[in-house]
Order: sequence, then C-alpha cells, then structure tokens
Amino acid sequence: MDSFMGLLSGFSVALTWHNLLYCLIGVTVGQLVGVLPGIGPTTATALLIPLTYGMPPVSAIIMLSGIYYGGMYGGTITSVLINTPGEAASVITCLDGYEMAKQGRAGAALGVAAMGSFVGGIISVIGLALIGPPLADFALKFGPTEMFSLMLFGLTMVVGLMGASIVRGMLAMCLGLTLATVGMDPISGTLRFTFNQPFLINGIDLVTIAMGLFGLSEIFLGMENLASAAKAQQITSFLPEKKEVKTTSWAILRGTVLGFFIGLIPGTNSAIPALLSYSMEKKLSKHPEKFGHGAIEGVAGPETANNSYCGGAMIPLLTLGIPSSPTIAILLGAFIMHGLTPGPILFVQNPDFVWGVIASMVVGNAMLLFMNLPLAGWWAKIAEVPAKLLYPIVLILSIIGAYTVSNDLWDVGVMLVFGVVGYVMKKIDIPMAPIVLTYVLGAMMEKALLQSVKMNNGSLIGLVESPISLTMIVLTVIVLSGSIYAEIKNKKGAIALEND
Amino acid sequence: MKDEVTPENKGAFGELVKRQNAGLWFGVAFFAYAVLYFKMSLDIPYHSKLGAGPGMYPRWLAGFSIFVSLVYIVQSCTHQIFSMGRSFPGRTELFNVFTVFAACMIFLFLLDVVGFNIAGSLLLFVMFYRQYKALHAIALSIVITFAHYFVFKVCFSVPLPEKFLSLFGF
Repeated sequence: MDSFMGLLSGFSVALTWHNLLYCLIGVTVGQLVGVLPGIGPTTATALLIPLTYGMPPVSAIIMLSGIYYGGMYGGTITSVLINTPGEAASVITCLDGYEMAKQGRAGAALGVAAMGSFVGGIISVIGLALIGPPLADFALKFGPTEMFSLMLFGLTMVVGLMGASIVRGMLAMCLGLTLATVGMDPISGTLRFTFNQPFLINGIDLVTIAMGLFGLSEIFLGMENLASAAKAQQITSFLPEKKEVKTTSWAILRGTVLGFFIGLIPGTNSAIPALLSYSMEKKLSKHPEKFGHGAIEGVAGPETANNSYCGGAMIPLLTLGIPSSPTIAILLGAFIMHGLTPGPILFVQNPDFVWGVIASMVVGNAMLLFMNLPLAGWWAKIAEVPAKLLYPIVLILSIIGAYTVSNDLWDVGVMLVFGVVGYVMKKIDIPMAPIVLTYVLGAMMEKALLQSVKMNNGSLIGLVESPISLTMIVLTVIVLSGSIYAEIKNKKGAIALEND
Repeated sequence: MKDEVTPENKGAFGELVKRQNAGLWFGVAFFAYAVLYFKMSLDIPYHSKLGAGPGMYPRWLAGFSIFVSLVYIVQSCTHQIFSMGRSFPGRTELFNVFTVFAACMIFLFLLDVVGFNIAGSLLLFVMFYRQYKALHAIALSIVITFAHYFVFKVCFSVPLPEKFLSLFGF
C-alpha cells in the first residue's frame, strides 16, 4: 500500500510540465542514440551530465534515466530496418527482425518490439516500486562489513560476466580500482597519487573517463573505415498475424520476468537478458528452425527482456547504491554530483525524488511507445546520416561535454588519453565496463573495508562473522571459482582445437 | 653509418610490427604501471591512529595488480595471442585514427589561444577535408561549430572560451 501511495505521489512530481519536458528530452535523446550506431546510452548519459548541473536533481535524473531506457527502444528500429544494431542489446534482434523486414513484415517486427518493450518497461517499473522499498528497509541493516562484502560480490560478477576471459576482466578491474585511489583517501583525507597536482586532489572525474573509454574510442574505431549507411526497409502494418498473438504474448511475458531478474544482478548488462531470452525462446519453440529466418518470438522476447532489465537494474542502484551496468554507474555519478547518496536512506530522506523518478519511467515508456509505433520510419531515416558527418559532430560534443566538467582543458586531455586506452583495449578484447564500474565502487569499497577493519579492532574477522557478509563471501567464492573453472575449460578447449 | 630507409626495409619493419604480440605489450605496460603504483604506495603510511592507514588498500591492490598482469602476460603468450597485424587495422585506417587524435591535440593547444569557434572549426575541418570538397568541408566545419557554440554557450551558459565572437558582444 505504501508503494502504491508512493507511486501516486511520484506521479505528482513526474507530471509537472517541466519534468514532463525533461522526460521527453531524455527519451528522445535515448531513442536518438539508440538509433545512431556507435553512440550508446552510456556515452550519451556521460555527455549530458554536465548540462544537468543547473537543473533540480529530480529533473536531471528523470532526463538521464530517460536516455538509459530510451536507448533500448531506439536500437530496435535500426536492427529491424537496416540490420544495424544501435546498441549492444539489439544485436540479437537483427537475426530475426531484419529477416522479417526482408519478408515485408518490418511493421510487425517493430510493432511487437515496441509493445513488448512497453510491457516489459511498465511491469519492471511496477516491480521496482514493489520490491524497492522492502529491499531498502532490509539494506538499512547493512553496515560497512556487509556493504564491503556485497560490493566484492558485485565486482566478482562484473569480472565474471563481462568479457570472454576472467583474467582480462580482472585486468580491467585492477585499472578501475587503482584509478579510484587517486586523490584524497576517504577516511583520513591523505593525498595519494596526485603528483602534487591540484587538479588530481578530487580524483579523476568519472564522466571524462567514461566519455573517453566509451565515446572517443568508438569514434576512433568508426573513423578507421567510414562505410556508407544502408537503405531502410519499408514499413506496412504494425500488428502481428492472428496465429502469432499467443506465441508473441508468451515470449513477452517470459522476456519481462527474465529481464527484470537479471537486472537485479550486479555486473550484468542489457545484452545478457536479450541473448538469454532468444535462446530460451528458441528452446521452447515448436519450430526452432524458424529462428534466424524471421521468427516473431525472436524479436518479441529479447526486446522485452532488455527493456525489463532497465527497471530491474534501477533496484540495486536505488536501494543499495550499487550500479549494475556502465550506464547505471554513470547515473550513480550524476546522483553524487547532485548531492544525493543512492542507497537505502534515499527512500527515507528523498521519497519525492525516488518516487518521482520511478513514476517518470512509466510516463517515459508511454512516450516511447508513441514515438516507436507511428514514427518508426522517421527515426530510421536518422540512422542514414552518413558516418563521415556523424562522428565529427559526436567528437565535438564529447569535447564540449568533457570541457564542461570543470571548464578546464585538463578534462579534455584526460578524455583523450582514455579514448586511446579504450581504443587499444577494444582491439585486444579487454572489456571496458569493469573499469567504470570498479572505478565507481572502488572508493566506496575502500571506505567500507577500512571502517570494517576499524570496527573489528584491526581484524578482518567481521567479514565472516556477519551472516549477510558471510553469505556474500561464499557467493563471491562460488562465482569466482566458476569463472576460473570456465576459463581453464575454455583454455583446454582452445588448445584441443588448435591441436585438431 | 646510418641505415637508409628503402621500401624493402620499410616493409620489413612493418612486418616486424605486425608480428608483435599486442597482448604481451599491453601486459608489460600494465605490469610497469602496477609496479610504479606499488612503489608509490610504499610512500603512503600503512598504519594510522585509526588502525588501517591510507596506504594499506593501495598496497594490497598493487600486489594483486602485479599478479594479474603477470597471469595476463603468460596468457597472452600461450593461448590468447593478439598479434598487432590481426588486432589492428592497416596503415590507411590507422592514419585515419591518428588524424582524429592529432586534430584533438591541435584543438587542445589552440582553444585558449584562438577560442572555441576557430579551434573547433579547425578540428572539424581536419576531419572533413578528406571526405568532402574543400569548400563544403569549410562550410560544414564553421556551421557545425557555430551551431554547437550557440546551443552550449547561449542556451546552456557553458563558458566556452571565445576570442573572436566576444569582439561582437557574444
């Protein structure tokens, strides 16, 4: 009942004209970056954070989260119409979406994707409203020891799930954690690794790191070879055939549940539920041979799952202050910049803010449904903007975004350095998401660890004495062992293949 | 005696670079970074009056980073080999990437001297000039830069440095 009342009060915040406007701007930008290949929601969120400095916190977060879930809708359009995924979560949609478009059924593919995304988005927001407050109450029991173990578990998931190799994931994690120690120590305020430079006292800004690693590196990759845009397929009816309604509805339902629960796990990203949903639909289908040749469930399931994931992924952020994906990590940065501390106390101290953001996600999903059904063809035309024009525009936007962090060229230089690092890392297949996630978690983890050690008279025994912490440590060991085992098994497999 | 650069030995150098193990070099660079980080962490107190000092966490982290970098180096040399030739694109593509990087560097050096509009136009022109006719490239560079300037400086009050337009009161 409290959740229902909270959601109602949230609508009174979300439905004010200026918050509606910011929500519209957010979902439009999200849709736009989803449509444009090469610019993902992570880059766009990082780019727009500096512009939110002057805004009220609730409006800023409404706009930035609009970019996050809006990006999921936009990526579908280009996947279906021009076989070019706008973001990672829509890669799987190309398999059947583009096949449907070639068969003259682009409208039906876009229709079920938009409806599935809407259903997934709305149900996951309701789930967020129902699960968020009790989880936040439970999280109030968490002391520094439990928080440290939880974050350690989150880090292990990040390393274990992202990228093909755990060693490469750990390398990225170490880079993120070491970068997070630059600046003032969180307990005593001692300066570390600053080289006596004043601009390093507060550490390196998360936004510049993210813009370099995700945005600039993508521009470098894109500038290697500027290919021309593909031609979009024609759109006719947006509705599936009568015989497909039942299978599509079940695919949407399964995608919703799957996406929501995967969103709760730290270290995942929106591509994972989409991929899992596709494999699940293929396994459950009576005609698995149709997959890859225009199966409508192959579009409905993954598209629903990646949107449902967005609502689920907001739960660890709002209740525990732990980001579960790179875009959420950037959002966490935005929370901090606006003087808000994500975590259980947020529901108590800023209920209007939390419920306003949650309610705005319902409103934003409704806006996106309208944008995607009647206006899909118009959005697809945007994707035909030539890369030779697009990348320079994104570059100058990135530079301005980095400059506005502290109105100093230092941040532009930092972005440039991380752009080169990101480019090299992409080339040798080192995942970049762990850097950003561990960078965000690093300072919090260190603080929690030092506090825990202090509380236990200089000992780490508290980590195994607390039942919650012990559970997290056990889970961490299981995930880590599983990842290492998988790595060794893959290594053996690779050697066997080489010998063959 | 200095070696003269001939097409033959230039090609041989290119082949040598292509054969290099990119993963190994990255691992070595990260190892050096971790060792430097460890050395610097030794200068920070390990203990404090509160118990654990500001140097404790970095020191353990540095040790772990060194271990991970060594495992990565071994992995890069044994079964996950990324050769430069296969991982990185050809000379033309790399030149395109370098152009963007160089344009950004020029922008960095010029911004405070000539202001955003001239530095930005130059940055965009460097990226456009091989894709469009010269006149189109100039026009596009100027229009896009001024549009960005208008949106960010005028609409969002971002203090972009400007020398040229400030003469006209913008």
